[in-house]
Amino acid sequence: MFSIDPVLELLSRSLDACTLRQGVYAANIANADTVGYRPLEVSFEESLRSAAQLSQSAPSAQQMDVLRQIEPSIVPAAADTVQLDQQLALMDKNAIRYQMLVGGFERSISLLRMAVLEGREG
Amino acid sequence: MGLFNIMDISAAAMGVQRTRLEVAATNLANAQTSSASPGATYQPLAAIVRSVVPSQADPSRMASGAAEDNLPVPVVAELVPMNVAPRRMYEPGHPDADAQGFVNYPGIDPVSTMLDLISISRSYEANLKAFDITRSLLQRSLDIGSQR
Repeated sequence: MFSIDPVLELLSRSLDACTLRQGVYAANIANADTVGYRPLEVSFEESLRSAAQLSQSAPSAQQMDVLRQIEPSIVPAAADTVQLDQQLALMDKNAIRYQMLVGGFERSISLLRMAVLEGREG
Repeated sequence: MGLFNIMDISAAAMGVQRTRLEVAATNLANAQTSSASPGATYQPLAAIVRSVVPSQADPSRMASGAAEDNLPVPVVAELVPMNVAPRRMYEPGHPDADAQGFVNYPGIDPVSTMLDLISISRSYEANLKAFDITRSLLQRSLDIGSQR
């Protein structure tokens, strides 16, 4: 996704990670009864942290490129069996985070709208 | 990239649980069917559930590169007879009784079948809840950009 604002870019990256995480928890719950299934997890925060360190040293023109490299990935979870209640709790937490990010997204967009309309009510 | 695909995963899992429910109910329903010969006794079935990764099973989805296609989806691979020995009951007056007075009933353990039913319904509920949460997220993202 192409965006003009680093905040929007970061928010949309985080939303992607949240969506993938939702999928991983759904898959863990769906496959809980399959013999030999190993639960999965999403690794995203590590990628985010290293990007944050990179962007501190990078010139501002390259900041967006650094942000675009942030990518969530599917990794095996530490536990080797699925616990339904735990997965549902994680999923609920993830859903709250998703709604929080969507809220942030909307707020950023409304700031852009305010700038476009030069502060007048549209 | 989509929440839709994630809803499909939960829906597929609910389908699998429904098949498991049908199998368990069929086994329980046929628990009291008698037969004269051990070979003709109803054989209880077992649903074999496997995880399939769509991007590996279907090469055309590999190209799409969607991360959700790498998530395993449960499928009922096959229904196999459990091959358990018939339960032999001593009922000399029964029309199906053999020379020694024994009647063959399917070797179904009602207690373990009932436990299966409980675990099936728990799994179904968990998947339904997951489906609901994903649906609410989808609904929430539809509100982006709507004026308040």
